[in-house]
Parts: sequence; C-alpha cells; structure tokens
Amino acid sequence: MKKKRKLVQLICAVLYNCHITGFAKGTIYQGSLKSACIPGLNCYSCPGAVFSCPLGSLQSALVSSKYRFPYYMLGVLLLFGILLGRIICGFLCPFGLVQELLYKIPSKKLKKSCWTRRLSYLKYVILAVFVIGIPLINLTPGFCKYICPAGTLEGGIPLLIKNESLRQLAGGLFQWKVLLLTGILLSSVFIFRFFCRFFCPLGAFYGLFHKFALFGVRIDEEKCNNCGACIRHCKMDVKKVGDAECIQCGECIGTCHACALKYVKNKTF
Amino acid sequence: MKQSKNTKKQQDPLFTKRIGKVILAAAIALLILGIARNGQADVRNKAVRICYECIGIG
Amino acid sequence: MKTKSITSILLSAILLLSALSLTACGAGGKEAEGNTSSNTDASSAADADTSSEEGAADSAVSYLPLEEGDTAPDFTAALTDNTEFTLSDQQGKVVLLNFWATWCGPCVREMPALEKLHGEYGEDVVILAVNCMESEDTVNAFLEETGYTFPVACDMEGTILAKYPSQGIPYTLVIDGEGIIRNIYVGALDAETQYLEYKGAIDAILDEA
Repeated sequence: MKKKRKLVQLICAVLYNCHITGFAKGTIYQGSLKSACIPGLNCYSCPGAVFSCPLGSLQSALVSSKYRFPYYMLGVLLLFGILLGRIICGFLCPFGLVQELLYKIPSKKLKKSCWTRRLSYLKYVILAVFVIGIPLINLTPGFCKYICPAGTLEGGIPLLIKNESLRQLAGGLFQWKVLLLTGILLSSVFIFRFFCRFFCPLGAFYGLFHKFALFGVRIDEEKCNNCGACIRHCKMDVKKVGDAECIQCGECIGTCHACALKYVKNKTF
Repeated sequence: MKQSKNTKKQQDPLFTKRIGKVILAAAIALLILGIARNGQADVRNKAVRICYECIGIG
Repeated sequence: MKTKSITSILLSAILLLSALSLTACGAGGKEAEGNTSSNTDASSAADADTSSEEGAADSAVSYLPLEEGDTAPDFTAALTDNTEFTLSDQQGKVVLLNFWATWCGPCVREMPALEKLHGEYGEDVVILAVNCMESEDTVNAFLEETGYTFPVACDMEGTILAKYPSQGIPYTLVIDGEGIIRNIYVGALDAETQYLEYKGAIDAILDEA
C-alpha cells in the first residue's frame, strides 16, 4: 500500500507539472487546461504547471468577488472536499510528497504530542485570515503572497532563474518567502509533514469534510477494541482514524489486529 | 459506554447522510452555475499570467 | 470496498488526467493548445472559441514579448464610452498603453497614477487601459465604483492582448509619436512609484520634440 501510494503521488506530481518547455524557457503554460484545478497544492505560476491551483484560483476569485461571484471555484472546492476530502492530501498533493521525501532523510524525528496537536489548529487560522480575509479586504492573494512555499519552490525560483527582468523586481518579499520555504523544507526533515500539519489551509479546508467525504478510511466500530495501535502508529495528529487531521494514507490499516480499518465508500451515498 | 456507542452509530449516519447529500448537491449546482457564467474562463485567465504576487515579487 | 479498489479508482482518474495533460505537453506547449482547446470538455463553447481564436492570433504573432525599439502592433479597441480607439490614429501623440484586470492587485493599486497622468497632459498624451478578458459588466462595475476617468477598453476575446504577449500583468508600454515602443514596464510597486516612472518616460519623449 505504501509503495502504491508513493507511486500515485509521484505520478500526480509529474502530471501536474509536465509542461517541461516552461522550465527551459522560463515561461508558463497558457493553454485552456488551466481552466481546471488539480485538487492538491501546486502553484499555477510554476513553469511546468498544466492545471490551476485551487488555493490560488480561490484567492484570485475572492479578490474580484465584488464584481463576479466565484460560483465555479466554490463548486470545484466543495466537490473535491465531498468526494475525496483529505485523500487528496495523502495521495494527490505534490507538496505533501516533497515533505514525505524529505522526512525519509535519516535524522532525529520530533514525536507528536499534545503541543503538536494544539499547533495543528493554526492552519484554520491561516485559512480564515490569509486565504479568505486578506483577498476579500486587501484585494490581494494573501496566502500566495506571504506564505505559500509551493509558490516559491515551483514558481518563484524556476522563473527567477530563467528571467533576468524578474530577478530585478525581486525584493524583501521574495527574500522572506525564500526564508520561509527553507525553514519549512528543513523542518520537514525532522517533523513529519511540517507544513501540512500546521500551516496548510487547503488541508484545513478538506479536513472539514472528514465526516461526509465519499471515500475514506473508516473504523468498523463493532470490530474495534479501542487498543489505540492505529493512533500510536500514525504520524499525523489524529485523535481518531479518519478525523480532520487524518490524511487518509491508509498506513494504519496494517497495524490493526482486529481488522477494523479499511477504505470504504461512505454509506451516505 | 456500549449504549452510547450504539446511539452514536445510529445518530451519525442520518446526520451525515443529509449533510453529505446537501453538500454534494450544492457543489454540483455551484459548478453548473459557474460554468454557465463562464467561471472556468476566469480561472484560466488568471492562471495563464504570472502571478507576481504569488512568486514573491511586488 | 477494498484498498485495491480505491487505488484502482485513483489510478483510472490519473490515467484520464494523463490523457488530458499529454495533449498539452509537447515540444511547444503553445502550439498544442490550438488542438487542446477544441478537445477539452471542461471548456464551454464560448471559452473554446476564445481559446482557438487566441491560438490562431498567436500563430500569426511572435510568442516573444515585445521589446523596447519595436514598432507597437496596431489595434482597434472599443472603449467603455462606446467610442473606438485605433493606435495608428494616434500619430504624433505619446501613448501610455496599460493592460490590467480587476483581480490583479498591483494593477488596481497603480491606477491612481494613470488617473493623475490623464489629468496632467493635454492632447499630446493619451492614456489607455486595456482590460484583460473580463466581461463588460465587471469592468463597468469597477469603473462605477472607483470613478476613474481615463480611457478604458475591454478586450474580452484577448485579441489585443495576443498582439502584446506578456507573461504577467500589469503590463505597461510607453509608445512615442511614431509608434515605436520606448519603455516597457512589467509589474507595479505602488501608485507613487509608477507615477514617477511613467511621468519620467513620457516627459523624456516630449522633451525630444
């Protein structure tokens, strides 16, 4: 299962960014495939990006929401949430893959605790303030501008490497973003999915659907004996398998001696 | 403890059933409305220009 | 439902995604777009027309951005006050051509500079702000709220934009009386800075006369 999941993540990362000529020329793809959003975090200013980023598109849509209500973006996000929820985090997000690969680097690892659990609520604040608040009030894509490490890694750095005119425009803000990116990438070596757990507003949003999503890992309450092996094994800050912190990776399934865990299609539908 | 487990099982599915269906219906309705108003063209138009703010420049 | 089924569903979705992506990824992403736009299901008919028109326009025009010293491509634009603007008719005047959109923060932030410049010069200098592919309603609502008076044109099909390819907006060009592009600005810091920049460029051309 682990290997299959890694494969899916890898295929997604390559697929979302297959516009290779963009990297060579320092330009971005301008075709109509960008009408569609991929479910995970992948900057649409990445030279290789062939689809749009849901967070970037949402913030842009909110900036001009005064003149055009963003029906399409809301529909897209709700659909992703209700069908897949945080399966997207576990399987379909390139930045999640980056963090998991960094974590594989041997080092001392930070164990999860009540503090990491508390810190995991920070991403909801980021969602409210930077993804929703700032675009509506300051007319600027707050999360993209001040925080998003995927934007810096996939968009900023490749574009600046290839475009001298852009390098001249880069100032203090770019320095901040590079600093932030470096901090996040370094921390990901010691702390599992550092960005996902504490900062990612997209994960926060998808987590809201954990009870309703069509697919997901579910506990068979009749088989479960509350031994807690799944929670101990899990590297995310879950209180229960399938809650808002669960990225639906399915690695707990093998730990359950009572065979109470499996991917299900929600009987809601 | 067992009793609360059983009532929990009975309550949750009904609750999640309704909300889940409502959300899915809303998502599809919003999507259709959005596409009818050419919302996907807006998404494309923004995505094909370099978002200078997104990459950390001005 | 077993773990295997979930993976197979995901893999089939990815195969579908691959099929779509691979139509876009080619030696020249831009050239492939002409075909892609007519194939994509997600686009509405209107969008497909826009894209294929853009594709056609782009094949006629170089994909490379314009440079200072180039001749500014001629175009005709429909202004929001229902008059027409043709670039070649502006012979002898300095034209400040700006490309913007309501969703673009820096574009909106630098507009007070455009308004100030519009009021400062007389007949010799023309400011034109071309909106990038937004609906007339959006543009009119924006102008009503902000009250700007400088000439604004709508480029809903992107035909003007296609002649002035730019990877980003705001995209501003200062064109002299002979139709030569003298200065190109990409991005904007704030209204004050942009005002000084544009004024400097315009004055430099006027002083030559």
